[in-house]
Amino acid sequence: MKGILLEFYKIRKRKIWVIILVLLGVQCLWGMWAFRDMNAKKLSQGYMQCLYHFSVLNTIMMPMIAAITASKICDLEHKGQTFKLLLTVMPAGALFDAKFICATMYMVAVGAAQTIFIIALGRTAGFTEPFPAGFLLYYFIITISVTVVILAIQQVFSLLFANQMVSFVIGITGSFAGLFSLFLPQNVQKGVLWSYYGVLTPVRMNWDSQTRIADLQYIPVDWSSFCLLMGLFAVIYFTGRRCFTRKER
Amino acid sequence: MANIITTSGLCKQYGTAMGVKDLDLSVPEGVIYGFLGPNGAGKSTTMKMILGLAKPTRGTITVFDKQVNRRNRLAILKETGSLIEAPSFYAHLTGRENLKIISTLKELPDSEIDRVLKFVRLEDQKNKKAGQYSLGMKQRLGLAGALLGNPRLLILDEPTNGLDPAGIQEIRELICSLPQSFGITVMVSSHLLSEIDQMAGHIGVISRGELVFQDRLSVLHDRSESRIAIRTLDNIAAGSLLSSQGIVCQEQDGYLLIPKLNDNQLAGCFMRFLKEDIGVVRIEERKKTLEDIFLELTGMVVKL
Amino acid sequence: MWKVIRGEQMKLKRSPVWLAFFILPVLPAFMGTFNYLQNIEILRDGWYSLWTQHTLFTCYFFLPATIAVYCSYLFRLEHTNHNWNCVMTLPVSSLHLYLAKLIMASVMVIMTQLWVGILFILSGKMSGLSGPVPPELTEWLVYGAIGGIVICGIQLSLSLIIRSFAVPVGIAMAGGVLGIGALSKGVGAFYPYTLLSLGMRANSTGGSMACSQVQFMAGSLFYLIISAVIAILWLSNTDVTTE
Repeated sequence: MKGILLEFYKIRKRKIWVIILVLLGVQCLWGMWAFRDMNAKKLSQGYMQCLYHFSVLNTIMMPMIAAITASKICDLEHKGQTFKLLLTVMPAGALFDAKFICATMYMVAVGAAQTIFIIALGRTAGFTEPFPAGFLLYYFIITISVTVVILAIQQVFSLLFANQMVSFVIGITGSFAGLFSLFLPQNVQKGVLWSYYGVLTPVRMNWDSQTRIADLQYIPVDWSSFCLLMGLFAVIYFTGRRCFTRKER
Repeated sequence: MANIITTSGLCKQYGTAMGVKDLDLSVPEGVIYGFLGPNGAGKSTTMKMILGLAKPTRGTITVFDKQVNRRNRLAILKETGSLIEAPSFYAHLTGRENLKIISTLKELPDSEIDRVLKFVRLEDQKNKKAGQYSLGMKQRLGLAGALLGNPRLLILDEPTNGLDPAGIQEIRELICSLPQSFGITVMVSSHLLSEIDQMAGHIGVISRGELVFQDRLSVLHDRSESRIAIRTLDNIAAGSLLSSQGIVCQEQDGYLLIPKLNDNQLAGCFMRFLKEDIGVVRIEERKKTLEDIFLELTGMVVKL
Repeated sequence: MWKVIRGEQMKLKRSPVWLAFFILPVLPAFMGTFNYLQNIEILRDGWYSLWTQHTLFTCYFFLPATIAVYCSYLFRLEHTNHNWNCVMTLPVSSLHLYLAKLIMASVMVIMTQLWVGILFILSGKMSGLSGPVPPELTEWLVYGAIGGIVICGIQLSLSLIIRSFAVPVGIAMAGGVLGIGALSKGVGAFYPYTLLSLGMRANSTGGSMACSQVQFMAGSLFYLIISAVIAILWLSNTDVTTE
């Protein structure tokens, strides 16, 4: 607990939330842009539209937000060369956990802000679709879950390599692959961590190539993929943590 | 002797605080100029302003008879070597590669690199990555970089930081040799008077951003007068005896302090003590050390 | 000037940062081609459809972000280990320093463009596209390189002023996304982050640019000069601080 508070103390002047807020703002603007002129049909599927679009936008933006947050909380140790000092007062594992929890809180805040934004948009734009409380909650959970797994990867690389270029290239490449695989078959998607925003989204688009009409519908929650994701998280987190604690300084 | 660096009315303001205030420095050519002051007195700030790394709030700086400004910056830097605050280095490159970058930018031949590496005794470690150097080795690397191309002026900010005692001695000797061997003028800062005392011919003492002393070091030495300290078995009786002889004396920590007398006078005093049965147990000559003078100058005495 | 570029080259020794630019275009080449083959009945423009598949997302977000990462890296070298003290006391003018960095970044962009071109031709041939390689390819790549260099200029200034590694990358990402808005409003030529996708014709299959060549060049030149001026003013007017 002390470790987590310490992390927040260390970044208190770094204004991490500013850049996160900017990116989140851009994402919301983009979301609003997609809904600038809604017809009756779109309004009747308003929340579905939102959830669908936001899972695509998340694939592009959230890996970046995770990469930036992770880099910001890890890079200050590289710059100040404080690992030697810190690791004499706290175990490496505890430092790793503290940093992760600190960054996770930011991610939870981002997820919450997105969900609130969708609800607010629904109210102001006058969505006629009945309020899907369950799916919104589910959206909130999966957005955070996927982001947190990506965050774990980013943190591992940001901590292990002083050169932050490594973690960013991994983040950008991942996000890129994630976005691309949204256009590829489901089984390909499931192999790319960064596309899980799409894999787990509760809305599916039915594209009728004859009529060229896209229709949205809710689909049951894909719990098996969710479990797979959590398994992946455990593997990434504990392998990364192990590498970090074993690294000699 | 012409001055190589002159500053007049130099000020640097940080927020509302004056980091450096009305500084009038004059560094003669061909000397080692010791720039002395406690931590945070404004030494680094002054040196950064001389090098153009920081802009003065007020006042002017002249180096090589050229005013330090944007137009003359490169011309001045071409003939200057420096090491400010902490050594600079690219951690993923070797020591030699780090020097190669500087020598390329200064348009120097590769032989210069080998010369300075030898000079700072880093030739055995030249192919090791600078990031893996110890603090002392990084300091040597920084010094080597400053020495590249034998600049006319060398500005060194606490160059012995992080070195072991043998290294400190070595670097000191190295710096001392520069004016005679290469005609380099060296401005070197330190917070230790003893260190400056062993190197510099001229000194400037700065305290809380203000210059409190500037002259030849010998002038400072003259200020340190000697006194005689006597300890007897009966200081009160001894004191009144001395006073009756017209010798000013004061008691301090069980000692009587009297001005330096010549040997005959002093011997006379002791004969009288013996006659009066006052047992003399200690006689010492006490010299006010440079350190004491430094502390007085910088107003640090009170704090201690 | 040449010595400054040599110096910059030496600073990049032993850091395989170019790998990023090598890997990045491979991804769209693979996945874009795959997607093209999957949807071959909708995408009927042969080489031109394939080009869009290859470049669309690359130009919008990922190449700008990667350029931003590279520019952040170039200045991180100076921001760490007190290097500004050394750099600013060497007889090198601020203009030359900035230009040398810009040239280093530009070379990387040009190499990336070449690589994109090679991958495009390769994947087109391998997916059995009939017809010759579009003759406009060189033009797309050259204009794309110009657009990329503009982003380099801006990102270098940002990374110089903002000492964080991550923040300029975030700005590039946000800039890229906002560029989609600028493009759809038809003001792409006036917005720096869209010049890349405009030049690459990422969104207009085979067509001409969504702006005149004069507009494109004027926009590019304007942003290059602005960012250089800001960087040089910053370098010569602010006190050097080291962490």
